[in-house]
Amino acid sequence: MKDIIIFVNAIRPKTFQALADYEAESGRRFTPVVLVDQTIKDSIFTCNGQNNLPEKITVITADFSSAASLRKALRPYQERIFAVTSQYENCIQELRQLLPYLPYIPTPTEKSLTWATEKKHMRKLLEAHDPKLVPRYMEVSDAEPETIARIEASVTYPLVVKPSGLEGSLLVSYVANTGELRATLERIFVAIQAAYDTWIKRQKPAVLIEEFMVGDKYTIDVYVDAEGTCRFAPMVGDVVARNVGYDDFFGYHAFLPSGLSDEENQKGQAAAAEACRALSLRSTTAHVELMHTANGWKIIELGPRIGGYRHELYDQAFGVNHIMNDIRNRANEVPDIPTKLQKYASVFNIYPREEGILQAVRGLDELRQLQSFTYVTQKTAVGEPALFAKNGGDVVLNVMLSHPDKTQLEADIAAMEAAIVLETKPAQ
Amino acid sequence: MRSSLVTDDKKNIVLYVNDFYPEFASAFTKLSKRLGRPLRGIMLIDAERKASGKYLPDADKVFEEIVVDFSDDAALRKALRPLQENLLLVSCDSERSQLYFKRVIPHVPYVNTPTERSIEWSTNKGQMREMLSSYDSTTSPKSMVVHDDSPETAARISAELEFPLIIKPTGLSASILVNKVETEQQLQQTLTSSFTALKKVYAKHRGLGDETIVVEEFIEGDIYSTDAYIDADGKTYILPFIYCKNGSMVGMEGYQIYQSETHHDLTEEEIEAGKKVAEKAMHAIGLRSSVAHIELFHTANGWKVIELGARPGGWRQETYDVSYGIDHALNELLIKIGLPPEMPTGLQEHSATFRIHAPKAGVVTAITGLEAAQAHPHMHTMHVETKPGDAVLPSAHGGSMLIGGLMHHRDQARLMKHIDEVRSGITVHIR
Repeated sequence: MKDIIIFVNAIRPKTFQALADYEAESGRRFTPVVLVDQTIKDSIFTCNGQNNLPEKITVITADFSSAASLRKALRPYQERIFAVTSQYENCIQELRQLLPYLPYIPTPTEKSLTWATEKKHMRKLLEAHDPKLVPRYMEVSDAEPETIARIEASVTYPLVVKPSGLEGSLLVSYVANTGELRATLERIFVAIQAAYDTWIKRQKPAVLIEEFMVGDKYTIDVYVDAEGTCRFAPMVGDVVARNVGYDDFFGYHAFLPSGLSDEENQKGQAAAAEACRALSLRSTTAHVELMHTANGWKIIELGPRIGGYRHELYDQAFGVNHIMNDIRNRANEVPDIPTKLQKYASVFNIYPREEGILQAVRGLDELRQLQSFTYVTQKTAVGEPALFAKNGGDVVLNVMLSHPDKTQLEADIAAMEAAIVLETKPAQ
Repeated sequence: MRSSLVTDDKKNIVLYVNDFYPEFASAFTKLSKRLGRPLRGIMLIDAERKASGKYLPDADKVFEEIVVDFSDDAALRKALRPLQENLLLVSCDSERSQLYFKRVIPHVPYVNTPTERSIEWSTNKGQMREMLSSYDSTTSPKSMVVHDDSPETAARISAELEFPLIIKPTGLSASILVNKVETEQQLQQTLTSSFTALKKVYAKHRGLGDETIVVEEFIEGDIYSTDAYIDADGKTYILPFIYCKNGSMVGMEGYQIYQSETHHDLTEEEIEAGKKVAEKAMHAIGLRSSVAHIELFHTANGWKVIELGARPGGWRQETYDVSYGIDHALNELLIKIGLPPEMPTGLQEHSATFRIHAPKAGVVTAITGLEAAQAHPHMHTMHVETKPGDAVLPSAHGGSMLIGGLMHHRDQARLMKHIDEVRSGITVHIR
């Protein structure tokens, strides 16, 4: 009986309901087991909100650098393992360490996970696979005048400066000239190690410079099976913060349906599939970020995992059980992807307009009264620093609105944007 | 297991890494016939290996050739991308190319391969020991990996392990630089001489990984080896055991294989127990979609694993063909595409290999008796890997086999007699 699902390091809260829904629908039964690297358990549990897991959930620990420790932890479950998944970007390193001990279940290769979590490797392989997929870029390790000169000789302004190993637009900046480039590089090289520590990243920090792409951003989650066949969750429209008045690159508004024509949707899917193949991914979900430009589809980046809030979005809009699809695809089963629209759905990441210490969050009561209100999660507490993503900050509010009537949803979005106010006070 | 490899007519490329062996060509032809479609064979060769000439070339140009820098992932990606949709399988049979194979594996994710890590574990005896003992501590002797010959290291070994000990490099095969020591003084001396020799030998034999040494407790027992196949799901198919004599068993210095024989006196029960340990060894290394060469000790306390390689054993193609009528190279291809191998149904003829190593260091001045040996009616294959003028060393000091051969006969006693005749007829004169 294959009933054990191993979640490496952490489990998304929505997983319990996703599992229950699938069990009710299919008649099958599964047992989730969280396998955590004991050397980072405290930090990863805090970072990923795992400290209040339901008591019935089995949590086991092992030293992932020790063969004996990992084998001892896995032994009681080995014959029953249905699938192994890693639901968060900062847990993929441990998934990679675990893979050699699970050779007889479908998994990605170790190297593909390294390539898909480090932008410098990702860019190199995407370029080697198909140069049209990516903008021109280079990797730098300092902010010295020689480096600036080398950058300016190789790529053309405007540029995007981003850490190689962080996701979610953390420390990503737009620069239009030499002065901005120098200042941004100096700032990023000071902040990068702290950001890697905060987000539990174990790679060596590195920085990428790439030419800014003009276009509309979309994201898509792709189920890549053991043979490389790609099956697509719906394409999600994504409004970048820069387009709504922030000087930042975080994804402000993700929405379904995307509004793309069938032809453009298929071209975007094809580009996402090529990206997955370029990184030799298999038996995984890939969260792919793309730019739809005048010169076709380009890859911003991808991660070997489900995208943030994508389970909720796909569930509301199309009734897709994304968390179970991720698990079933990893077990070599075909995911179930309904395509009939049930609701228009939007997710917002809300940051402060001014950085500082968060003083108050206004408008939550009005938000909860809206017809489209689905949920709100506060990620930053009053009294904590509320920084922009480009300075390493986390989102303050995550809001979801959904409604079968598009006009009602649009009215509620406008009401939400008017009602929500994040008050900050400059830090001392 | 990739279900479409056998049935999808588009899958027609067989990719071999670095080294070409003659049996590839016939196995390739048989596989094509078996699948009912033409196949395309390609040798994928690392640019540095090609430039240095340290690879086994496909002299008759049986297959196409692609040369690429294996240390450059982007270059590998570009080279393999045009082949990806048509790849049927990837194979690498030589020990010295295994870590090159490891670099190729992530670029061919949609065919059946071993994991990258299992290749690393099976080429580094220190990591292999760790994997074997963490899987089942009863299958291997106590061991330590050491990185230097300092007195502190020797003292640490003496405190943790019981003499006598076997000292061997972690990344060399064929018992090169393998030595037995009885005392701490011998241990110290051997560690010093081994680390000195290691650098030269690694360069000559393309040693794999770090220049480190594994020290393990000596096991008393008979040596056997077997080749086996393991599929993508971990199901194993184990070939008949081969009895092996090493140099020390016939009064020579060193632990190099002196002779191997298909004939042995193991009971069915002992064979089954040995197969179980061989299977454990493959699972401990996490091997899949591969052939494996496994060496074992049969001791008073049961079977112990000496080591395992994710490749066919030396002379096994000929041995299993002559004695059991199976095509080992074809079976390796079958297991990689998810088809069961053809297993032997009974012994056809006894066979045995003999190997001649240098008894002392020096320069080869002449070799006599080769023609008569090659013309022997029961000689199947003979390899002469030295010539006058070559500098040679005993195996214990880093030397490799000089002459080897496979002989066969229906009668085991007469086979042994013929082997003795051939051995005594060949003389390698060393000054």
